[in-house]
Amino acid sequence: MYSGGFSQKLDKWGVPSFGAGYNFSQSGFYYVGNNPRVYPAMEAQLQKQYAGVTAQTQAMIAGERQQREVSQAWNNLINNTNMTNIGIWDIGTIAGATGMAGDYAGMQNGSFRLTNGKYNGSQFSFKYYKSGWQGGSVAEITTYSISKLGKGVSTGANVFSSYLAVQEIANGNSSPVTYVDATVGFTGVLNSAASYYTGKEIPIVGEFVMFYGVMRTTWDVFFYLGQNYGPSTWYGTNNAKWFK
Amino acid sequence: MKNIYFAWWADSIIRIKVFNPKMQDWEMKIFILNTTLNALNYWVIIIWLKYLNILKIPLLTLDIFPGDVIDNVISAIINFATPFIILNYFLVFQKNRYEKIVSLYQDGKLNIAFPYAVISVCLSAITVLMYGLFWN
Repeated sequence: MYSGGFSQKLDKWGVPSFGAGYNFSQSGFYYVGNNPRVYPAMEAQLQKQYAGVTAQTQAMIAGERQQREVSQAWNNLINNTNMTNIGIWDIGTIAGATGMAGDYAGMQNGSFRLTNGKYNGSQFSFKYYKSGWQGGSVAEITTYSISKLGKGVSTGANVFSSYLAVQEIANGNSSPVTYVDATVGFTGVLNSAASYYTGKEIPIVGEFVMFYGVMRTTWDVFFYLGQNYGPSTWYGTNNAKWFK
Repeated sequence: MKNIYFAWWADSIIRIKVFNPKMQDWEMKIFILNTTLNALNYWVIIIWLKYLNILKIPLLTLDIFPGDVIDNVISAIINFATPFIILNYFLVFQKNRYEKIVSLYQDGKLNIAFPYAVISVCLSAITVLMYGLFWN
């Protein structure tokens, strides 16, 4: 194996070889880098070209990687959330809703105010009254009963949850949480019917359905917004953008 | 059929007024509840027809709002409830027609409203169960 020559020695040692001259066929001066020879004008063009290709390739790889991660996460979610084994996502939602409904049930007799009363300028000042105080006093504070508020919107919430499940099933786009939607919604509708037609109401159901509907919608909307407009999407799929 | 329909409405209105005498917005609430029960029954029929491969009725699907929940609810209301919103409003609530309907069935011993609600919800629940077990 030929290993002679000063340039080759330098190459072996990791030192780039060098030199200069004039190439008549290329009509230009040159410097000697590694083989093959690259002229200064060509080098700049090639560098620019390869930089573009490199960035594009990196972006493609990053996009593919991100897509695979999303797909994997989605598969994990589907695998974890089947009828026999409801996954963490659903349990979290249900537990959250149940917990809030429980808290809510505990403060059913309460009331709250939004402003500090006409006497104090009616400025925003939220306060919860555990005693269920009905307002008044010198300051003319107006309070709102939590139980009345809950009952007022419970019919709408029942209907909301029912229609949600109904549409998902009709479209064939159901997920495990669809069955929860259906159960909650239908129970709420039946509870409203019992209340209206017999005067008897199952305790807490109306309020639970209301909170479930609110939480379900909030979760869905913010999950969508986060997924589509959140920090992970601010720089697109080009992870090399920072370095440009 | 017409008589049963009006008898059902009369029973619903009489009962909600008897059992909830202080309720002020009873018209809106009974309208929403009964229309939803109608819509659920209509949905049950459509689902059974679809999954037994008898008839597939095309359904509207909206994609306007962020996420799926709000779109699905509005789509369902348009698909299943709209016919009954129109029907119930013009046959029962327009120009307070319910007053005349209630007076017609005032003395009858009716017990239609709650059984209808229970049957409707049970049928819907059975449909969801069937869908989950066999059609999903």
